[in-house]
Amino acid sequence: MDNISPHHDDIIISTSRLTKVFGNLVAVNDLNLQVMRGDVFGFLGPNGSGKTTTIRMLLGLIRPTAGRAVIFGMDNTYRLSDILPRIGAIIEMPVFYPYLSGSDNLFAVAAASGMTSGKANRQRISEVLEIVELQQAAHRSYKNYSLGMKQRMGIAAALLTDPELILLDEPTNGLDPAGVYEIRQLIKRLASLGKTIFVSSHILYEVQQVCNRVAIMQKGNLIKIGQVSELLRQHEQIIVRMNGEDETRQALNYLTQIQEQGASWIKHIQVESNRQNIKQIQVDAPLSHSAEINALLAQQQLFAAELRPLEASLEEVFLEVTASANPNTEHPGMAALAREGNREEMPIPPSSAPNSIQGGR
Amino acid sequence: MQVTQSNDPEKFIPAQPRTSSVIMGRQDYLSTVLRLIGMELYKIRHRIMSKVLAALAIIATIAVFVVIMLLFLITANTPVSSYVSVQCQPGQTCPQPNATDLQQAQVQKQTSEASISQALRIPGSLALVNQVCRSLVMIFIIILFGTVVGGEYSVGTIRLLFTRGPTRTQFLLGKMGTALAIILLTILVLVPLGIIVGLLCNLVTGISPSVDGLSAAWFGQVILFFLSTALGLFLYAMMAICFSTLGRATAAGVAGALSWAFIEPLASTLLSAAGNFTPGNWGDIIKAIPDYLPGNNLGALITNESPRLPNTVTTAPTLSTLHAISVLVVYLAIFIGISLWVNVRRNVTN
Repeated sequence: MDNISPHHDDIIISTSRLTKVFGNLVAVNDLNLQVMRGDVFGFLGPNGSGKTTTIRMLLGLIRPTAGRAVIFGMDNTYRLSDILPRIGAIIEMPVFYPYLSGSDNLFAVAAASGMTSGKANRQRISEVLEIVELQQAAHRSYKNYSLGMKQRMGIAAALLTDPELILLDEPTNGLDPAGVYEIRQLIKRLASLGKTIFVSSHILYEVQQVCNRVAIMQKGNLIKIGQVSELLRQHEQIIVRMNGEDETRQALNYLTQIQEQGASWIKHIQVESNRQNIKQIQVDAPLSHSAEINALLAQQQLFAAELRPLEASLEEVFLEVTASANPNTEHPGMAALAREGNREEMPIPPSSAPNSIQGGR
Repeated sequence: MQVTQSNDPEKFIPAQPRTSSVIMGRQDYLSTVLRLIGMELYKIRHRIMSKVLAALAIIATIAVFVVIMLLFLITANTPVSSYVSVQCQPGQTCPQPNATDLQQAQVQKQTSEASISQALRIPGSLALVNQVCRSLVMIFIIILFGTVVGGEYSVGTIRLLFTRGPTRTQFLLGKMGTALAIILLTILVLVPLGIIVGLLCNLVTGISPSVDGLSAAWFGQVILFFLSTALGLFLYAMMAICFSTLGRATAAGVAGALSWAFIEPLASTLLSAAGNFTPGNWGDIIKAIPDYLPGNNLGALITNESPRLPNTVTTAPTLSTLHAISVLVVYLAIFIGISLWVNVRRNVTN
């Protein structure tokens, strides 16, 4: 059994310069990414960024124009029929035979997946229907299913063969909040069983909740990849509120000096107004430096009225990296919001190193 | 990036054992294709359309025999006097038929009854079932397989199928195998049905069916006769599959194959006429084109096989069996080849 025991350093998916061109459109450009065993890998990007094309190339539905994808150590151009039985996938909106019931559809999918025909797999079909809570609707015609039920059928089909790798393209499309929550729990449960999950989604909060790694695509290019925790850490902020505008200005000047003197952990400093229109200093720095900031200010006899760590969200990270990768983003307003929030820069005296305030990320 | 770069992405990762409730079947090529045929038959069995088509085929087969029985009854109830042909001079009263005239009329009526009712008895009933298969069943087969393949593209289930493991070629072979199974099953149902319904309808005629010449060789000939019919139906099923695959839609497969089936006889007639009006070698070439169209070769093949049935009028073969089979095999190879090639090469983007 040793040779089949899972190793968490196994590379389940590896793409190398994967490229797809449709006419003049470069749908995916030179994509290099690796997904390790046990990863819950979030694949993010705006509409048209190449996520679905990438998933289709991984599944052999689309031939790459250049580059290659290796899954389970096998090139999917040559060994697709060895790879696919180990994968469960949903591509965009799942589609099944409308004239069959839910369970009949799963019987058909089971046969297409290499499972024995007939009644032998009835137990497994019941299991997956139970997982997605469709037992009650198992004998209803698929065409009468709601959008959410169809989505859950897709997940049931993806899980049918107990695959090692699960590719989910927008699995929460059409689901109500309770359904979204269930899918999140399901993904967590599958991950705990050691499954490798590759999920593309627009719901960044969900991705943040379940994924350990993410890649962000923009116009076919991979613009960011990394551990979710690492990406969020890079976008952590510490909010410092002082007593009055004078103290705020002094604290700002002092922290700016510290940054100029080589405190590289401070990435950016600016003043913003909170909802009560109270000026506060926003320091882009790891949360672990909160105490250090407090101590530094106290040394200057500047005592913070409030010092609050602010965790970043994946949504902010996403909007920021997609906006910075392409200033002509289709959601410039949202990107600007992510970058600026409701911040209002405080006038800084020329002597107090304004460049550092304008600099940053 | 945080990926352990020392790992080799090309290192083969063995499959993990599946949960015990997942029971996998045999994974060799043939078993996979057979399982896919089973899956297609399962889907077809659950389709309302296929049930309706099957019911229509059965009803049509029964109806054809009933219509012939009614024709017989109409003929039988027609007075003998209607068959009397008496020469009337203009301006004179028609003479009354004499005993000889009436005797001749009686014979003519009996001949007419026997001729009509021939289709109710073997081998006439076999020829009648064959006609039903070559006309109505052919249309149904085109509709069914245009839908079976085109529907995968129209509905979008093609991407569900192509991501489950078997190769695209295996999926197409599964559909072809299903077409063959359905066609053979249809013939196996309709032929005995036709024979039985024909014999039941024949009861009203009072003519006893003859069993003269029903030898093992004759049965072999009947099998060849219906295998020829099956080959024809399979050709049109492949045509529908090919057009559906090319057009990625049910409509493309159904309309393409039906158009071919209905336009070909017209085109043959026009080509023959054009050939007659065109002098020299070109005229001969144009006249020869219909000999290479599938419908004509199918007709020739069935005609060549049918004369050997006892009591059947023998007609001179227009095209040899070898010629007909060769042409049909070439068409099959073209339709199957195009379908396989497009199926394997195509990007699935819908």
